[in-house]
Amino acid sequence: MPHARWLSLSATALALGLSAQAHAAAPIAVSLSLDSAAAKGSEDVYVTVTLKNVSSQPAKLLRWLAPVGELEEGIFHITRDGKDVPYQGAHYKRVAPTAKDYITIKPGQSLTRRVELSNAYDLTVSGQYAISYDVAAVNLFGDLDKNQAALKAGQYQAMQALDSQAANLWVNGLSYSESLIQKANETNAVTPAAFGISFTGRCSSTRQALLRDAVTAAQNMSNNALSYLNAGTAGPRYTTWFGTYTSARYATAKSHFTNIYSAMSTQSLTLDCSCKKSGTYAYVYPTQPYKIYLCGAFWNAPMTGTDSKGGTLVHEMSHFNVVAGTDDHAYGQSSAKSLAISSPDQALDNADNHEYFAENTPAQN
Amino acid sequence: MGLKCLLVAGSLAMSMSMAVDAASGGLSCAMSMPAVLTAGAPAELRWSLRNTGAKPVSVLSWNTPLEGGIFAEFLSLERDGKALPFSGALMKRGDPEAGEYLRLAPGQAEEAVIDLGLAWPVDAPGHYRLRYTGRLLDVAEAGAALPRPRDAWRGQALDCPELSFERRP
Repeated sequence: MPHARWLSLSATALALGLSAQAHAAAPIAVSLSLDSAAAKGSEDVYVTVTLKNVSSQPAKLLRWLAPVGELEEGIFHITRDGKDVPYQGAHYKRVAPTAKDYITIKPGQSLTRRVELSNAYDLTVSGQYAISYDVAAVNLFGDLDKNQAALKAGQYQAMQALDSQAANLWVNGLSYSESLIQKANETNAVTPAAFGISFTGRCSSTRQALLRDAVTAAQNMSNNALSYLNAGTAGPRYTTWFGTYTSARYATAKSHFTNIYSAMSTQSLTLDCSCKKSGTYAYVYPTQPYKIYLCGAFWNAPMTGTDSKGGTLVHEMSHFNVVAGTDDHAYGQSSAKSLAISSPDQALDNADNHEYFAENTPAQN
Repeated sequence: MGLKCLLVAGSLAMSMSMAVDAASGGLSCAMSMPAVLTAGAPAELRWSLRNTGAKPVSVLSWNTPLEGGIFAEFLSLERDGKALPFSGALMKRGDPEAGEYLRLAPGQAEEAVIDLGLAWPVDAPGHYRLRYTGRLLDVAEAGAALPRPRDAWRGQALDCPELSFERRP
């Protein structure tokens, strides 16, 4: 936010000559508190924000700069040992706000919210952090009519600013150089085309840890599936999910799992947490390996077993054209079983059949 | 982030040169598009689903443009007789939520416009053929308890006769 702050000051200065009330006192007072004054670099960090209306009228605040949910902009100014810690979360392209883009607080009332910081700012490096809320925008407090009139009259619209005192946090985590090494491993900047996991779409630390375990589970499952096929077994496990044996189809299954296991254990995976659809586990774009988007149902799934986190990654990996190029012809165990009976060729082109073969739950030989 | 955009069909001026309907079990599907696209023009397909029966039905929006984008390979496209690869999203589905069903009163239709260019290479000049190859995953009569899990779905094929369009150089 230092840039926005600078913008605020300069814009305010510009507006001063034209508007008598360029920088009126803010109608809202903001205070921050942290769960604890110290944190380990590996844990999620939340800040509790209280917004109090200190004016005698209802106060409005632009929703996407208000600290009331997941961060949508870099609304906190954070320093570590005096140096700025950049915001790494989402940025949205916005249209001009309308009345519905404001939250309203009644006179004398307060609004308190807990906001995660660790998914949008790097708080893993050891040091002394100072965290403050700090925003500035035209229309911050929703004087839309007044601003519109000013705009029509050819006047500058005044910037409005709101900030808080800093809250201090001591992080006892990674050294700065360890953090750089971890980042290099995560993004594979140093060793492209080697196995690695990176995260996009604001995965919390908790979810990053779950995803690392899920990748391990997916490696184990796909390795187990490949071993089964390499041994030439065509027991109930094979026929349940891929139908009647033919040597050609068996060879297809083997090549699919060769590719799935290889990609899962040697490629650079990007895992994205931005999808919120609760009836969906995950999705991919088949022409864009190896980025997998995890959705709402994924987080409630067990780590292994039917429709598990590990199995979902196997399912998604099978979709990439460079891996197995599967489609979604049927969803769920009973439909996948029916498909194996009615059309083994389609079963070999169906992602859920690959997943259930790999999960092998309940276990079959 | 590759979420596909949905244009809820409002007042798009289109030459409705191709419009085809097909009834399948009280539901009819219609697709329309301009018959000729100039170079660079978006390939927007208008897709609608109508309840032609006498009773209300609820339809799971997955596998159709009505979900709000291209989240499954529910169309098959050819250019000059050659199949085009799909590059939209493929989703692993779980059990749906109530809000993912669309309720259609008798005679009521829902429609959406999708930009085919978001998931298929439709910029090159040529003669294109387009078929709806999806399948309605769950269709429920009035009174059924929804949402229901995958194993209780009652899927239904949906015929949308193919249409074609030209892309001019």
